[in-house]
Amino acid sequence: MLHIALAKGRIAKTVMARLQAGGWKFPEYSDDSRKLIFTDAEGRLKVTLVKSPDVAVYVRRGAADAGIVGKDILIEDGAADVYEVLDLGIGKCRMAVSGIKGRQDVMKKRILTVASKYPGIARKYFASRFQPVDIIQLNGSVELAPLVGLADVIVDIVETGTTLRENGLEAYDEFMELSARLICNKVSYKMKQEELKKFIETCGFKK
Amino acid sequence: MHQTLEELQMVHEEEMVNYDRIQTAVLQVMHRHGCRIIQTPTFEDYDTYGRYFPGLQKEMVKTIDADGSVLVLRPDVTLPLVKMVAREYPDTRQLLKFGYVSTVFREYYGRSTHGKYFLQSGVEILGDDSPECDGEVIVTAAEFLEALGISKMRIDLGTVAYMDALFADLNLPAESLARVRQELEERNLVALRETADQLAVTRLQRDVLVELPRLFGDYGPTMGRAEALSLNTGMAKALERTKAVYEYLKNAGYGDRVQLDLGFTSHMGYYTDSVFKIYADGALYSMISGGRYDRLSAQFHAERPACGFGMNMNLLYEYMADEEMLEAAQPSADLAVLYDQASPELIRDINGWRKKGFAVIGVNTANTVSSDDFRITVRWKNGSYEMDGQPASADAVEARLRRL
Repeated sequence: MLHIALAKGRIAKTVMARLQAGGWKFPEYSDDSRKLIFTDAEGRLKVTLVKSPDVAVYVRRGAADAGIVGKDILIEDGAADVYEVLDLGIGKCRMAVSGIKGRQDVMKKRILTVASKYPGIARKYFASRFQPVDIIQLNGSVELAPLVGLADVIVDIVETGTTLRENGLEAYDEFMELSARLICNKVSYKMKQEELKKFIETCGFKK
Repeated sequence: MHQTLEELQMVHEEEMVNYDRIQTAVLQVMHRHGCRIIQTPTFEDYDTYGRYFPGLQKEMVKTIDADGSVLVLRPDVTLPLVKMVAREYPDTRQLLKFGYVSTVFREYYGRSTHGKYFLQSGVEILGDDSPECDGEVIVTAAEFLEALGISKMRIDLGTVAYMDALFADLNLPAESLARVRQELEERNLVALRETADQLAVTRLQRDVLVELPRLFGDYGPTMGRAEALSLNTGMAKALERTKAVYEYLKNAGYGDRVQLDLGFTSHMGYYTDSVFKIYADGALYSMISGGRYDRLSAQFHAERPACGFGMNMNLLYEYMADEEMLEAAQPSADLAVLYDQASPELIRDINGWRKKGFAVIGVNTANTVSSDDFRITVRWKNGSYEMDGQPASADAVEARLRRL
């Protein structure tokens, strides 16, 4: 049986929909269920829903054979020690520096305060521009930070830009294209090659 | 990220017993192959390792010597071994076989265990550059597992010479080459495809390059694919040599367990030819990895071919625990004698039994003792023994011990 860990949220919803469209049946799954582990009716595929930063942990340690997670998480984590085998082309978005609309000049401050869920990516971005920054790690609702004066700018993913707009923010610099990736445990990649191929095909992903 | 409580990483008796059994089994395999057992120094020079294995620098445990120089705790066995051989054995064609079981101080991750050091066992054969030598090294590794009752295993055999021969033709700038190697090592298929599309290589070369990380599977079909993708004599020669190694494995009775994988990379140029990993059935990590490293010895001014492998015995232990292959804890003593007041006869009897080879503990009744710790219990009271509620002589107790 192939065991796949999916990042909870948008990615899990998209992949589950694709799987169901591809003919896999998950009797216990529904969009709003709180269950975290499902097996398909034929017992060939097990799906686990985990928080996105944990996907690579499950896969590396072999608790799952493969996982689907955003490239943003893989970059932020650094060496995940798993194989990145396919760009799934879903969950497309960009990493961007954003701040209050029309106040782009704030980027010229000598020491910029940056709020982000991605301190590693933020640090690398500003280091490459030789800009001194003070990075504040947040765990959610990063858009709040510039509004309440916690930070000058944020580094976060932008999909449609709606959240930014609704909070009076705009993207100053979109610097990284992102999408969901299929990662694989190093041993499972070889041992379960056939099952993986089948999974990829039924999801409608190109190999 | 991993917060193992170092102070709680105690090895208990039942683990000691099992480690001892595992160690005895692998040492016997080494002896059957005529290996000399060695132990390399616990402390090594930091700069030496920094030079030859820069990738290990962060992982190594550093310490400072009395004179202020920086030392590391043994991060591997191969390097000091090759260095010692270069110094002590001037004849580079002399066949030398070494085996070891040593603690190496490097991080490792299992399914549920993690540590900053582990017990490693391995074999290194020096002086022989034949494919038969590679075959013997792989067979020895497989025998390590078999000696412990693990017969279901998978041997992934490859050669880095195939990939290196392709690179030799591509004439890539050093920077691109490093990037391609890195992406191959990580089997980052997504990035590799992007990189390959930008290289100044022929369409054919590009196709072979992106196929490399997927060039694995059953021996026969994969060898066929590899031959079809072979673009120069170097690649063809690498495959010929791999076939000879496979022949050895087949004749030694391991052919059905071999899978071919030409996606193995050479770890910063360390490996030069055959490489292999062995997986026990059901384990999602390799316990054994090894290969041929013909260039390492030249660093110590002696051209000497070499091939070897290492096995992580902590991972093996975890696997055996998961598969319920370990031996249960045994009572530490055969007999416990409980007494209120010691006497000369009691002391004489207890020590006499020990000299006869029985494990005996004397327990003052003021102490407590766990009943799991011994097989028989007798009580010493008013100058005589009491066994199963009946008075018993010292001879009767001894007779009972003999029946165990």
